[in-house]
Amino acid sequence: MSRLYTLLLLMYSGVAFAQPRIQLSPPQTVVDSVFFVEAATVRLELDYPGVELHYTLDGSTVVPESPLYESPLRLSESAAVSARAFHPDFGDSPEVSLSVRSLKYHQPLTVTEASPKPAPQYAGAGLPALADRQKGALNFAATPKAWLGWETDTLFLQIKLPKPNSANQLSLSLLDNAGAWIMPPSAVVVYASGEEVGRLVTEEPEPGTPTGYRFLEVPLMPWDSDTLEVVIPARQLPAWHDGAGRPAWIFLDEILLTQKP
Amino acid sequence: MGLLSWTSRGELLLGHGDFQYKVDLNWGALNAQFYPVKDCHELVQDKAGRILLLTNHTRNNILIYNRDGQLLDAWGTEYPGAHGLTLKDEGGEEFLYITDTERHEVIKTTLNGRVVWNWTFPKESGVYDTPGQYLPTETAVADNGDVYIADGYGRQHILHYSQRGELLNVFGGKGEGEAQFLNAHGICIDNRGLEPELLITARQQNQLKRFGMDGSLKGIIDLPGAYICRPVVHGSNVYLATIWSGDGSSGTGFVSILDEHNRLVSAPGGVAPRYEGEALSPMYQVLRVFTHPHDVCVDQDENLYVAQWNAGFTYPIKLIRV
Repeated sequence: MSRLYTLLLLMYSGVAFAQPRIQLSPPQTVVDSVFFVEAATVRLELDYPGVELHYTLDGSTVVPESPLYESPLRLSESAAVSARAFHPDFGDSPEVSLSVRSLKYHQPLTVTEASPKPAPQYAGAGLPALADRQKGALNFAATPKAWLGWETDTLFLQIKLPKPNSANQLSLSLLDNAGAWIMPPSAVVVYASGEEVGRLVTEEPEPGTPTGYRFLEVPLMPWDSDTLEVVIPARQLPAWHDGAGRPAWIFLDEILLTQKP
Repeated sequence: MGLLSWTSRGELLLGHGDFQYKVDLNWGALNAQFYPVKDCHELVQDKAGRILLLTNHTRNNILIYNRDGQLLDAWGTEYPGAHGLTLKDEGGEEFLYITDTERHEVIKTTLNGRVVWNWTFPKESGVYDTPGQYLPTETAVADNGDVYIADGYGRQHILHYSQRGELLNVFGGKGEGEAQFLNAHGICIDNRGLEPELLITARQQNQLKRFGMDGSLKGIIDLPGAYICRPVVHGSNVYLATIWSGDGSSGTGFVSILDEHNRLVSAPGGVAPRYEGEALSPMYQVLRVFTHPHDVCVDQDENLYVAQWNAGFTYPIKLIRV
């Protein structure tokens, strides 16, 4: 009986004095240029008294022991910046991630064909937008010229190089925004002269994944041609999603070919 | 550390400067078996002090509360696209103006729900071909009875009608021009100056645009990072539920409060407003208190009631001014 009393007392005092645990928002990330030649500068911010920001650069999960953010990060190599906010009185923020990509080893390319064509309302500035090194905003409506969007089961792209080439990595820069029915595709398969030279299969996304950029980086076997064919099957919206069973939109803003040493 | 954000009793405080609030997350919570909500779209207060909530759940499109959050009445089953709710005192009797984005029309009712007029699809305007292009999100009613309808989810025109449905003017429209809109979501009449003006949100552009009652552009207020839904004028301030912020990601909303000069002075749930000269630094959410604030109602004690869109079928949140 006294145990029940204590429990009731705890419950009542909880109602009277405790606040529900409120979570911090994810830090803001500002980068001068996602694609860079010399260096990119990444600034993190969540301006609230007592907040500490911590980060990692290798894609690992951010914990309170991760490096403390004190001033803008100058990055001269490709990196995945992840950050979270911490405060003694609030729940830890969700993690936010931002990738930057060095163009040191990048090869020029032209996207010559897309089938089907992008949806008319998301045709951006046309196929050249995929090779202009201009990043679209996370809020895709804010930079409508940068993003091309497709609602299709499979997207085919043809890429031409100025001369036969043997770049060893193809990167697609994509948007992940489950709330807007946009997800990275389920796979990327690359062909040269009819032979498969690269394949990347992605995992089904978890519910609650924050809106973000995704780079899919497909390692390429040696090849020798001036043309690549890329086959991109869309992700079927997962069972947990409102649109389950329909293809997710593919939103693409940039394609990179790199010849890494 | 963090002492600024708590009362002496350990309660969280939101907001900045003279506009700080305690939070009641459970205000207005009801048994969803009997009084369900989908999106809580808008709120108004009548002169009896009651808070009227508009939801697009057709079991009870209108829920009427007292200020403590106790339910007093419920009605409305015929507004599947219930979106905008405006209250106007017309010679002592109060009326509601409901915009319905699925019915493609505006309906005027008494406070008990009796329909007294409809402003239907504006075919005579010449700027629409089919009702489906017309998705009215908000109304503002002038003292002479004229009704201004914002077609915020359709072709973004502002339609100016007489009380008896005569179309008097059309302005705005979708576009990036100064007198055009990307998401003309909310509209209200601003009587703070010498002449009444219209305040109209361009939500996707993070702007509040000022127009004369004749549809002429008077000025633009930039609120970078703030996706503002509807302006609500109370005293010398403008209150705006801000559904998203920053890059527009889901779940990033807060509440914006402007002073008599239309400068942002408090942002409950958001970062403290900072101006460099006349330019507001981009706004973003700092605490995940709100999900998608869609409207704010200010009562006589300047407490706020915040209705949220797409927030897990939750009821409004009350902010108690301190």
